[in-house]
Amino acid sequence: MRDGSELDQAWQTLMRSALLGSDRLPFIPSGASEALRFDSPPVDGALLLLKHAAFLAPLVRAGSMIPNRSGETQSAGGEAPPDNRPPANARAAAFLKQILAAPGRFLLLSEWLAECNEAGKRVPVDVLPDLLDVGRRRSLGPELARAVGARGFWLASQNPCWSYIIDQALVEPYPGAPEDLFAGNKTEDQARRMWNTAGKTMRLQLLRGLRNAKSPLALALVQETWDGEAASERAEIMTALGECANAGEAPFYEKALGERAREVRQAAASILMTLPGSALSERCLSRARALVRVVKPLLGAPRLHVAPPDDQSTDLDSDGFDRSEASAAGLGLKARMARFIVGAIPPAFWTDGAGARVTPEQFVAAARASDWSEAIVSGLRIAAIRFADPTMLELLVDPRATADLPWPLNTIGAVGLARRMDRAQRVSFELTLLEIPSRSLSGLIERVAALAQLPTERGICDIEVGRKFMEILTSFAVKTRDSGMRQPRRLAVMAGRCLPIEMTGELEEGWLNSMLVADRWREFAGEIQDSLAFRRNMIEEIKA
Amino acid sequence: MQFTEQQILALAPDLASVKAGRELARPVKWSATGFDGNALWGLCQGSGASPYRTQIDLAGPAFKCSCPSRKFPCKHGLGLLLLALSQPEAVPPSVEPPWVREWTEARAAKEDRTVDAGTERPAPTRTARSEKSIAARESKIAAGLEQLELWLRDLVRSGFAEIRSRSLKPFDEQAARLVDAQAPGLARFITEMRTALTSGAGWEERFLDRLGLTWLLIEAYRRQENLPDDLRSDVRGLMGWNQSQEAVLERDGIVDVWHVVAASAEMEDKLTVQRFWLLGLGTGKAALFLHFVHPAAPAKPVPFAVGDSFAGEVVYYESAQPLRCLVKSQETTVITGAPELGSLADGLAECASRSAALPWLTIQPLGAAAVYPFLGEIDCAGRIVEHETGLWLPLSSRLAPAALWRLVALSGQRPTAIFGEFDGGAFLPLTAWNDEGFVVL
Repeated sequence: MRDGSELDQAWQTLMRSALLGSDRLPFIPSGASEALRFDSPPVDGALLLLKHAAFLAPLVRAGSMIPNRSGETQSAGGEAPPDNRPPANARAAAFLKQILAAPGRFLLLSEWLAECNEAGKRVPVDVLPDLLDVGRRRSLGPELARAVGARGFWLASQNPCWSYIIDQALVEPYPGAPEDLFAGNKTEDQARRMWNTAGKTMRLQLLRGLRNAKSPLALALVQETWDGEAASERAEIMTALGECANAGEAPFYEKALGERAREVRQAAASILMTLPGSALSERCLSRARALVRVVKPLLGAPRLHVAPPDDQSTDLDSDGFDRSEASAAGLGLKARMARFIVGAIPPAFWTDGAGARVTPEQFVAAARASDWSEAIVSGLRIAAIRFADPTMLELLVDPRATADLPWPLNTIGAVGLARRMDRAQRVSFELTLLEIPSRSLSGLIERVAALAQLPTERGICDIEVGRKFMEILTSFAVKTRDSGMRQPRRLAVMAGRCLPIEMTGELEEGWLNSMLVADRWREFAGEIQDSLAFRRNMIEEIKA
Repeated sequence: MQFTEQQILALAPDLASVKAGRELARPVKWSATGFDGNALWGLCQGSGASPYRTQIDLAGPAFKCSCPSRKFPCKHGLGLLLLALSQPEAVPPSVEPPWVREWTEARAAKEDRTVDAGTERPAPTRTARSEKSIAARESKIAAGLEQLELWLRDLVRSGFAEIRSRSLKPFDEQAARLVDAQAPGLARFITEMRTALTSGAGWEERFLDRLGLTWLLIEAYRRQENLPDDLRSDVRGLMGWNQSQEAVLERDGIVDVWHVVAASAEMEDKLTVQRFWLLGLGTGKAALFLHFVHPAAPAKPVPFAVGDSFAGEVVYYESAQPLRCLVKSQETTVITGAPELGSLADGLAECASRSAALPWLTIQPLGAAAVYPFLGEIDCAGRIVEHETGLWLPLSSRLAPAALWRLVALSGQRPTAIFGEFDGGAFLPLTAWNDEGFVVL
């Protein structure tokens, strides 16, 4: 208390004497202290001081219990704007709190948010801080921004740690965003500031957001900073751009073919291959014509005539071919060149434009029968994925060769490509991924991790894919029951997250029972069962 | 299940047990679970070769587990109870296995014996406490006060400006001596003086305040015969004399609908003290119910959870400013809305008046109907601001950042009712509510 009152002065006098000691600075009562009267005042100065301390302390205490008036009391953001959507009910919120309290369940967050948004509800306000904290560490996309709503944005304006949610809306606009974030110069400035200052993940998200919004700003920003980017980032930027590339951008990618870094050249070539009319795609077509000719005899099945490429020629190298790459399938240089050439053109070329008209089935059969079958079939598989050709994908479900896909067509690269597929294509693609034989569980985990990233509906896989997944898992369980190998909880968590809840019944009756033959898989099966039950109850409560 | 999650968590001996219990509240962790209306049981695979046998008698609740943990209840007991609450289907109705039956039957038999013994022999009354032992304790306390007086006089004689640069051991020694002198309450005052010394800027004010109140208590105790009965009870209580619960329950209580508006917890040595704040919806009176949890002792269930309302009789301990209470009867649970609070100025005036009547009152209930939290500059402790008047109070540094942000999120800088504890300087919000809902911070 420092208000200059009589009581304050008496208290300060007492304080000085107490600090220095009553021997050095004897306490002499004055002002408010004089109200304390004694029949016989104590002779000892220390005792006098203690008695006055006992007298004044309660007065000071009670006297200080008044509210303050001066000073700042309004934050810059003012009051939070209203959000007309009702909050999710307390039971649904309890599920969200459980997810946030257990890092092992974070995978369920996106499903909770998506269900909440679909039900036209929002996150209850008291859960917002924990959710925004978790959102800093995990990319939850526009579902998070939509679910936290106006109060979430207001809260983020109060705490710089959560400003990412504002940037998030810039990266991935969503219906009902506070403003049209991609309109006007102000937003362009915000995007430029973010592109120039944000971390790699956020920059790539921004780029994808701008691409999805068909904004010309994406390429403009990339070109502005291209010379200063590290080689490793250039390759990733190039891949991100490639997901929605158009013919008008071909000159930029053509120029990137001259880059020093191999990954950048390959990424640029990979994009140009998919741009009809680009100089590179034209070169690829003419090489393909020279490589393979379809011979259609009057009797019998069509055959392929393959003219092996010249392995001394280096013109393929400037179009993204990696001469030094080791082939896991043991292909020689000429075979790898042939595979590259076939993989660079749309599969439809062989059935529609390679002279003789053949059906996809006929062409694949001819490729398998040819002397160059491994190279041609492998190249076709690359092309089927690269050009998202569902017919070819189905015909070529031979997982053994997929492991040999070159970058960026490895598992993770394929995730980006899967964005362009429709449901049927994606299911076929996912089945292909799962069927890749793995010598170890870690290989399977990698595949399932990729599966979890595929742009499926809310991260839930198709029932057909789910069955294939469980088939592989149970066969693993049976095979390894006596090996004493440790069952990875992560795989069970991902399975429990990705499998559709409609599978609960058949899982309990069939798959999980099969797993129980191996005692060590009991907890693993239980984890999946537990996750599915949790998700089912959670969805019921959100919809209630 | 007759328990709420809050009630179950209140049984936990510490926060680590709460976390571990939550982690175990998943069906995958359990096998052979069952429930027969009176008991819950299950097997939980731990690090040992055979699973732990966990059993809970819901009447207590009483816990038994074959795990080696010394905590009580252990994480398995809490986990099983939480599992039964959140996923009842994971603990299906079934018949008690022999290992559960053995225990529940033994418990029932013991209970019968206790009841029988109770009917045969009258319960010992407080009058049985010998006058002699009371006189002996008074004499010890008087000697302790003499010795403390000398020490305090020396302290102010030499001044405490440089006391922080010296060893603080004498404070611990003085506190220990007071415990030996059977004045544990006064020992706490000395411990608080020591805490004030290391409390950062403004420590001098806080130290002098504790010193003044300590001396006031010494003087009041010596002259207790001259004090009114209620204040005398306070003074004796502060010194360390407990009012027996039996004696308190004999007093007349206040019948009302009581709303459990907030709760807070503090560790005192190894003891967790939970404070439940009740508000009488008819009388407007505040009451404080204390619940003690020791990690090694069986916990009694708390009879209510924050947000509950019950019709019943609450009886105060004898005091010049009655706050601490016992629940004499708890009849029915009532569904009520949140209580109505007044203005910040009125709440503070009530605190000041209580403090003037009972200067040693350190923690008081305080609520305001339409306030919001304001954070201000970084490193600023934050304020609680009244919406209409702009009056404000500093927020307590005891408010955890997560709780502060929950409060900010709830209020959105709109008028919000906030209830909490006021220590004379800063305010610790414990619960808050507005049209967005009721939040325990």
